[in-house]
Amino acid sequence: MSGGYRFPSDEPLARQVRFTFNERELVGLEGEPIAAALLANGVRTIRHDDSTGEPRGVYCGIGHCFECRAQVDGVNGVRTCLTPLREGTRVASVAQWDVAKK
Amino acid sequence: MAENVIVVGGGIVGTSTAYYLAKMGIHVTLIEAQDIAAGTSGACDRAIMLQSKAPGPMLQLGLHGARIYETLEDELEADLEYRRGGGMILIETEEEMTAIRELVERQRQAGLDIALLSGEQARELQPGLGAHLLGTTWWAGDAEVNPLKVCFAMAQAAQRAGAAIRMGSKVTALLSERGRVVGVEAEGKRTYADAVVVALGVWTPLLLRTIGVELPIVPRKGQILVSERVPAFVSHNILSGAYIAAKHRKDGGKEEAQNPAGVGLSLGQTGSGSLLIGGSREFVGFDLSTTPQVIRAIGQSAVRLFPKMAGMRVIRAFAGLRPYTPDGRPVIGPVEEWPGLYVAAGHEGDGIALGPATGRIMANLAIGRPAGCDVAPFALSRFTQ
Amino acid sequence: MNDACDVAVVGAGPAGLVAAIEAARAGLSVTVVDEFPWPGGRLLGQLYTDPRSHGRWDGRKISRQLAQEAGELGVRILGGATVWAVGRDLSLELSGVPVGTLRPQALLLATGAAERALPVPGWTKPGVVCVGAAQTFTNVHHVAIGRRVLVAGIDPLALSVAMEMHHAGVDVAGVVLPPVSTTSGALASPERAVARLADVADLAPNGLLRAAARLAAGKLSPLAVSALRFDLVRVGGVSIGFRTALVAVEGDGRVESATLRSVAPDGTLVGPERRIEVDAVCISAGLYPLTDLAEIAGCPMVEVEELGGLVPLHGPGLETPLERLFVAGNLTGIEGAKVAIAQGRQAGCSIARSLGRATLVSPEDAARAVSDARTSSPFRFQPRIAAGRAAMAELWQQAIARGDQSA
Repeated sequence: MSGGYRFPSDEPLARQVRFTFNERELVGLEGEPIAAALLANGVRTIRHDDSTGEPRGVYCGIGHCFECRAQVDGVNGVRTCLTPLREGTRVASVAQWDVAKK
Repeated sequence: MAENVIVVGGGIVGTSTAYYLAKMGIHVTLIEAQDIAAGTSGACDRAIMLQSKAPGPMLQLGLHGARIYETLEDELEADLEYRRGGGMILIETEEEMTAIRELVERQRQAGLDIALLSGEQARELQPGLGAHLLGTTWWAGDAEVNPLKVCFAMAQAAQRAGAAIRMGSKVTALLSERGRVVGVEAEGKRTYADAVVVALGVWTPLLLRTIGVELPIVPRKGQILVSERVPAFVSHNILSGAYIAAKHRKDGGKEEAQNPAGVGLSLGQTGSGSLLIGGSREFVGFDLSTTPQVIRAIGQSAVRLFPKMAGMRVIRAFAGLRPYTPDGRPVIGPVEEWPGLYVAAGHEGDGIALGPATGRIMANLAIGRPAGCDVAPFALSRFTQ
Repeated sequence: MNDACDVAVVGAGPAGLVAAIEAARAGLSVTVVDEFPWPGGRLLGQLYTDPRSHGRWDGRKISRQLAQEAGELGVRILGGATVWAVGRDLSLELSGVPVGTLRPQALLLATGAAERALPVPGWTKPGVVCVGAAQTFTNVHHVAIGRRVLVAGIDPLALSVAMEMHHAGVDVAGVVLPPVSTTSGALASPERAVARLADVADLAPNGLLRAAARLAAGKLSPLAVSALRFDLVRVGGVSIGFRTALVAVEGDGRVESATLRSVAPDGTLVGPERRIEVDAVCISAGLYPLTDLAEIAGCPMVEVEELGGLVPLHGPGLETPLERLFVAGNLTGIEGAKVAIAQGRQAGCSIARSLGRATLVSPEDAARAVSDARTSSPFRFQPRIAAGRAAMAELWQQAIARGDQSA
């Protein structure tokens, strides 16, 4: 395998879309799980454990382990392995929940 | 005077009673069917809230308990997550405002210096409150604690002072001789003592029935949601006016028709950042299931009062059984027709606040000493005569 | 949303989709819900050549066909829907893309399986994934989980995924035994690994697995002996270490290397540690039935080791002791997609009959199709599955004798 993490495919590729991870601009395929788009961009660490600070990424890939959760378009705790990527999707590692903020 | 006491039940009342007995040098055996805090004391919220206590004997007992808590961490040499951060009751309607004004007035007369805040003042003190709130009460003296830690610390301190603790041992019978209770039978094993204290909460009537004593303690289920960890934003106890109404209401009233599961918000935040979001008040026997309708109703009341909570994840829900009594007061004292038998149970949702105080009183009564306060309002005889 | 329907199906994998089709054919209105946005479940990752028919098994294509067929029969498929509660009346509470309550007359739980965790120092580092995740990312999303990957676990699924990654262009650093621990038990024993592979020797769906399995089966016994003695066998470009185990994963914030140790035939670690450079580790520790919803629904659960652990008590027609609650697929015991499809058909027929509808397939034929699928299945995840099914039949008879069955 050379270059990126995305395999060549004989199927027609989905449309490319732009999205952000921690405000960094990335490109993925429309409709693929966010976790796949992140992996294809070489992003392994999706968040840090809130008590130990250790990095965490995809583990089970089927929504069971919740390790790949992130904030997606302002909603916390979204499992990126189950959530399709769209044009402009904003993904962030840090839970920015603030009760006082409107 | 009793030198040898058996305490049945390892919840907050049982462990507290055992601790105070052991501390006085009494030979005490605590017998628990499962584990420490395995029942109601392990399935409740964190509040030690005096504002919500009915003025009168309950508030007096609450004040007694609150004083104990102030120094309890030092006394037990344990971290109980005790925090005196104050408490507030949220007021949403004019009807609630009227009822709570009246409650506050009576509490003030009883010596609690409770303030009534405007909606604006309240939102300043507690960010995130809904814009529709008419106001809140505020009392700086309300506190909170980790109930599991209190029970375990009480049990450990009792043990250090010489108490024997038998867990996984279910008491199935009270032993009597010549009209007097002289011990218990658990797992086929008989243990004898000068006095037996039954502190089994909602399960108390089941044991007392075996010797023909009926007492009107009924399980009243409460469901609680647990949120994901979020940054600290609740530093005190929060109750909604609807919670107070559900707590003090009489059966069959208008509130019951409107809110059959008795849903009213109680909110506190644990040290790890999870919110405990309660709760309901339901008479459904010993059923401990959580139900989607009530979970949804609790969630909706939380979001109504804290709109931003709509974006927060609920990670689980659990239910506990409060030991309800018809007049809202616990039973603390001797069973008159059975010398040697004592009951300390029926605190409904006030067990955490009142448990240590109850334990201290019960310890005195069980060895024939003066209770240290007026226990007549808590006598079992008020139901039996 | 507050919708009524005749049948609700939880899980849009092979069992759920086929059951939905069968129930819809009987004239029932059916809604299928699944957390994943697309139907197919574990079918989506499956890609192999069936050694019996020599046909290609393309799980994605089959998923599409099943979903299309279901759609044509009027089945509603709700993706991105998490079921968070099951009521006593079998109502389902949904959150996610659709929010609300689904009120069916009958409910099929086809919730599938999850992978067992096999903790090893460093297993939480980004880059350590379950074998199922590796399979999905490789075959469905066409994304590499790493450039150089170590696979820990010598079993049919792990070898298949290793092969698939190898074919896709990933440098597979090797397939070794999983870490030795109290939870891995027999999985970490070379002898057991060989014995498990032997079980699938004739049916192995790809070259690597077939070769490894034949070795293990003793048809090439001198080689099998040497495999155990010399540890390393190289098949189809992938090294299999029958006597090597993963003991730790290292790296600063991500996987950078894996530490291996030799294993004696009885499973004990021997010799010095050695470290290899990898950027991803894929762990295979077997599947277990996802029983959460069955438990919430109040279905009695029984422990049957041969089926994969705790499973809902169920009868020969996939009925449970709760009226109009049915189960199918991996939830009833860990088996392959062909068995799940046959079970789906059977469950669909049972549901239709429970709601008073006639079905084209007789109960006997539906049950026979399940056993046929079992014997012809290229994958056998649980070596003693037949014994497990027999144990369940026995437990069901005992329950009926006690009068547990409500029907």
